[in-house]
Amino acid sequence: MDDIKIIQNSAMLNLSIFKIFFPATSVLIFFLIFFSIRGVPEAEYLNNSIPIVNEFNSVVIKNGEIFGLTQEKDSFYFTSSNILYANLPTISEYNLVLEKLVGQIEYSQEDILFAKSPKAKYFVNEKKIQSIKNTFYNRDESVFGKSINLEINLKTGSVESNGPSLISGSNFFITSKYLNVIDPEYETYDNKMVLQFNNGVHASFTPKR
Amino acid sequence: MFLAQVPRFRKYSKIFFLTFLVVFFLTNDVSAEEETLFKLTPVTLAKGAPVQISSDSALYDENQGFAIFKGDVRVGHGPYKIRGKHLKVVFDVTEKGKKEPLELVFIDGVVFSNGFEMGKSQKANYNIANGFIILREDVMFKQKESVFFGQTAEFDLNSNNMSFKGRINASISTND
Repeated sequence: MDDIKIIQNSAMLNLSIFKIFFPATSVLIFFLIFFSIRGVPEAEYLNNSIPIVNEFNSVVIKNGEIFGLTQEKDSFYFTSSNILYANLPTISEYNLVLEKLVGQIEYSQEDILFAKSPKAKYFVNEKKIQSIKNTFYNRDESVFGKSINLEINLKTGSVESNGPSLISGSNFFITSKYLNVIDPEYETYDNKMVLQFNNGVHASFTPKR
Repeated sequence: MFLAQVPRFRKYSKIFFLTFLVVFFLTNDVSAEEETLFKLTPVTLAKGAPVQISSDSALYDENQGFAIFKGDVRVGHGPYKIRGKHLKVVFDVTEKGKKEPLELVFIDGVVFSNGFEMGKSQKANYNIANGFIILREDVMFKQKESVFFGQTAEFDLNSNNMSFKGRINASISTND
């Protein structure tokens, strides 16, 4: 009779372990998974469902192309082999990573700025393209430029570099630590952009003599 | 009619001749005062030597065919060194010219040197194609220990001559 009682007690003990241990383990696993995926940006994006592109933005991004008009009605057209979306905490920091960027800004029929960059960032809200390394040239290739930290403002059509820049032509070159490509205030036949240099300008011109 | 005037001409011919001589010598004397030649130490500029410019800021306007350099502007062209605050480089924008630099125009103070002599003025024009540098306004020219002051100095870099125009004030060292 005593033996039977002992068996019954151990069975009750086993039953209570299963009832508490397994639910507790599953709850623990759930929390572990929940906290592990909490830091993943995709999960946050899915939870918040924030639109990638501001609906009021006039820039159209379609199949690796960025095109539109600046405030001055100068058209721009850029293509990228690969566009990557980077989701950042605030909407003001939304940007696209553009690989092998090639494009142009048509300031006038005569003057077109062609730009190339292996990797650039497009800031959706500010309508700016920032590239670490960049090469650019105008239509008749009278001016060829290379720069670091180039910023192309698609609102105004201005091109600015806060890094070392080199501008060269058939018989000259100019280097500086700051470059700004500005639209001339006057109207001429060629109407080419004016180049403004600042901070440590060095130039070399080869004369006929 | 002409023959009738001959005796009259003879009468005044001496006066005409004397007047001519006075005018000739006077003008000759004035021109001697206006232009004084200096021989510069000969230096050679290699053909096709580039014009090197460094400055604090610059503006390159291809439409109008010029570039403006501002700040501490330093120019080197072979043995010639020029320093100023404001430089305008004028390019040949004709189809034949291929945008080559034609002239350097300095305003707001300029110092020119060939390594031996030194010139200083308010304005200067360096015609690269012709090899002429003209210093204007408050010109100072220093050769060895002697210093000359005038209004215009023209440096001919081909013949290594410098001509001073206008009145000259000089401080000539006896050690030369």
